[in-house]
Amino acid sequence: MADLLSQFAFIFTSLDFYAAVFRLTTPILLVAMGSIFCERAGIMNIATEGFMLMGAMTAVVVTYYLGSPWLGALGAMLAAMVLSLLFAVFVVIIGTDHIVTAVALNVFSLGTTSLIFRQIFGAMSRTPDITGLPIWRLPLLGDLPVLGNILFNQSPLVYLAFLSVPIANFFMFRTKWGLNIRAVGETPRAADTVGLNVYRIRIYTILVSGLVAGLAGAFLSIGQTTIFQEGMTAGRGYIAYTAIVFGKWNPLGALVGAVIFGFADALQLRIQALGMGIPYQFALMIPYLFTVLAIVFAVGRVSWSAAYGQPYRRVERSVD
Amino acid sequence: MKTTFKIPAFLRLKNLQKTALSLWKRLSPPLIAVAAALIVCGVLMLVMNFNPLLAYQALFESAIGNKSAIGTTIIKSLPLLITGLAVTIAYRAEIFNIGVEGQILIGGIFAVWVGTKVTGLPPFIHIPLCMIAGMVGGMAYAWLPAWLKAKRGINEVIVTLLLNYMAALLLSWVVRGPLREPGQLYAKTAEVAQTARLPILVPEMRLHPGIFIALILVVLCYFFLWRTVPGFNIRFVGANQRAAEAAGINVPKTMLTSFLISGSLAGLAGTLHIIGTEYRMLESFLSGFGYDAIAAALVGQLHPFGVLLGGFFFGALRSGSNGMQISLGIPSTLIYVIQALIILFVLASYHIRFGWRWWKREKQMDVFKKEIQPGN
Repeated sequence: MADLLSQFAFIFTSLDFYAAVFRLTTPILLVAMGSIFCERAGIMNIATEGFMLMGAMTAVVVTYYLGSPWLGALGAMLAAMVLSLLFAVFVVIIGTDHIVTAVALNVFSLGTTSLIFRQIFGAMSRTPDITGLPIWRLPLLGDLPVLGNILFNQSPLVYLAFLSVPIANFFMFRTKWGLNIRAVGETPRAADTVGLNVYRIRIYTILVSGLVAGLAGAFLSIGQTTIFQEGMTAGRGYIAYTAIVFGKWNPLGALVGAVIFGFADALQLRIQALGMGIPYQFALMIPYLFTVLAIVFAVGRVSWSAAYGQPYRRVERSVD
Repeated sequence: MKTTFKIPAFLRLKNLQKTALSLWKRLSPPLIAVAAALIVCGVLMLVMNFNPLLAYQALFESAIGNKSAIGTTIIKSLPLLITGLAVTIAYRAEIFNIGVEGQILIGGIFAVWVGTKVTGLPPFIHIPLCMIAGMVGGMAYAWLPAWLKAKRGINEVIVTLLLNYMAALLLSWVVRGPLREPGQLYAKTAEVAQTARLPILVPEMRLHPGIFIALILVVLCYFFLWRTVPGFNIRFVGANQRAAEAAGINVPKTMLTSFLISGSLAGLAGTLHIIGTEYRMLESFLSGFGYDAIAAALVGQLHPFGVLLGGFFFGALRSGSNGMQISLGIPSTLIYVIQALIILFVLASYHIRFGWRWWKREKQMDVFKKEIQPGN
C-alpha cells in the first residue's frame, strides 16, 4: 500500500505528467469547443466520434501522399466536414433521430476508415513512414523555468485548443451569431418567427463541429503519434460530449470537464508505463470510469432546453 | 361447450387486398432500405476495384449456399435475434439501449464463470444455472444506466456507450487473468464443463436447442408487449411519456423494468452462444453484435416477428462476409458500412414517405411569409 502511494506521489510530482495532461486534454477540448455550438443550437451531436475517426484516417493518408502534415490536417478537416454534412442532411433536413443517426454514422465511419486504410496500406506490413505535426517551443514563454516545459513546448494544436475556449465563449455570449444560435436551440419556433433560418443555422453549426472534430482527429493520428489504428478515437467523441454536458453547455465549464478527462487519460498512461501491479486493462478503464462518475455525480440539468435533441419542423407533419 | 372457429378478420377474402396492402406498407421501408444500402455498397466496391456481383454472390453462397453454411448463419443469427428483442423491448419504452454490446459480454463472463468453476452438477441444473447467471450479469450491467435514466433522467446512450468500452476491457482482462485456460499460448478462457453444454441436435449444422429458446422468446416478447399490463405500460411510456404519467403509470418503474429485461435478454444471448456453440470466450467474443442488434431491430420495425427476419438477415450478412473475405479478399469491415447504411436508410424511409407533401407545404409557408412580412 505504501509502495502504491509512493508511486502515485511519483506520478503527481513529475512535470512530464502535467505536460501529458495538456496534451491529452487537447483532442477532447477541441471536439467540445467545435460541437458546443451545434449542441447550443439544439442538436445532440455524438457523431463527433465518427468525424474524429474520419479525420484521423484522412490526416495520415493525405500526409503520406502530399508529404506535409499541415495539408494532412486540412484534409482531415475537409473529410470530417463532408461526413458532418451527411449528418446534417439526415438530422436537420430529413429529421431523423439524432442519437440513432449518430450511432449509425459512427459505425459507418469505423467501417469506411478501416476499409480505406487497409485498401491503401494493406500490403505494407508496418505503418507508413510520415512526419507528424511539429512541436512549437514558444519564444520567451518556452524558456520559463517550470511552466515553460509544461505549457509552452507543445504542438500548435494544443495552443489552438486552449485559445479556442475564450474565443468560443466570446462568440457564444457576446456576438449576434451566438445569440441566434442560442435562440434556435432554446425555442426554434420563436426563432423561426422572428426570421431566423433554423435549418440553416443548425446545418452551419454541425459543419463547424465536423471541421473542428476532423482537426482533433488529425491531432490524434499525426499530432501525438504518426500512426492510424482502427477505432483509435476510443470514445473520445463521447467523452467530449460528456465534457459539454458536465460543463452545462458553457465553454468554460466544458474546459473543466475536458481537463478532468485529460487528467484521467494521462494518469492511465502513467500507470501503464510504471506497471504498478495493476492490469493494464484496469488502467485503460480509468478515463471511462471518470466520465461515468462525472455523469453520475455532477449532472444536475439533463438538457438545457426542451427543444434539445428534437428535430424541428416548420409545418407539423400530418398523420396519415 | 361449443366453440366455433372463426377466421380472423384480416384473413377473410374481402379483406385480403387490404391486408396485402398494409403488409406491403409495413415491409416496404426496410426492404427498400436494405436494397438501397446494398446498391450503395456495390458502388463502393466498384470504386475499390472489386466486382460487386461476384462479391454478393460469394456472400450469398457462404451465407445460405449449403447445409453447414445455413447452420453457421442460424448460429450467428441466434444471439442477434435475442439481442434484437432486447433492443426492441427497451426501444418500445423509448430507451435506446446501445449497451447490449457490453451486457452480452458481462452476461457471458458470468456464464463462463459458472460453467467452468462450478462442477459436479447434473446438466438439468447446471445449464439453467448458467443461463440465470448470464441473465443476472446482463441485468446487473444494465442497472446503472437504467437507474440513471429512470430516476435522474440522464441520457442512457452516453453511459451505455462508455460501459461498452469498459466491458470490452474487462473481458480482455478476464481471458488473460482469472478465467484463463492455463498452459495456452493464446489468451482464452477454459471450456465450460460438459454438464453445462447444450446438446447438439443436428451435427452437420451444429444446431443446438437455443434455436427453440430464441423462437419461444420471440413469441413471449410479442405476448408480453401486446397482451400484458407491463407490456402495455412500456408501449404507453414509449409512445407518450407525459400522457402515461397523467394516466397514473409509474414511468420510472416502467423504464427500469424494460431496461432490465433488455439487459437480461442481452446476457442470455451471450450465454446461449457460449453453452451452445463456442463453450468459451475469446477476447473478440461476439464483438460488434450489439450494433448489429440495433440494425436488426430497426429493420424489423421494432416488432418481435420483424426482428426474427432482421436477425436472420444480419446473421446471414455476418457469416456471408467471412466467405467474401476468404474468397475475394474484401475486408469484412465492409459489413459495418452495409449495416450503418441500412440503419440510415431505414431511419430516412420513415420520413421520406411523407417528404414530398411536407416539402410542398414548407414552400407554401415561404410564400406566405413573404406576403405578410413588411418591406417585401
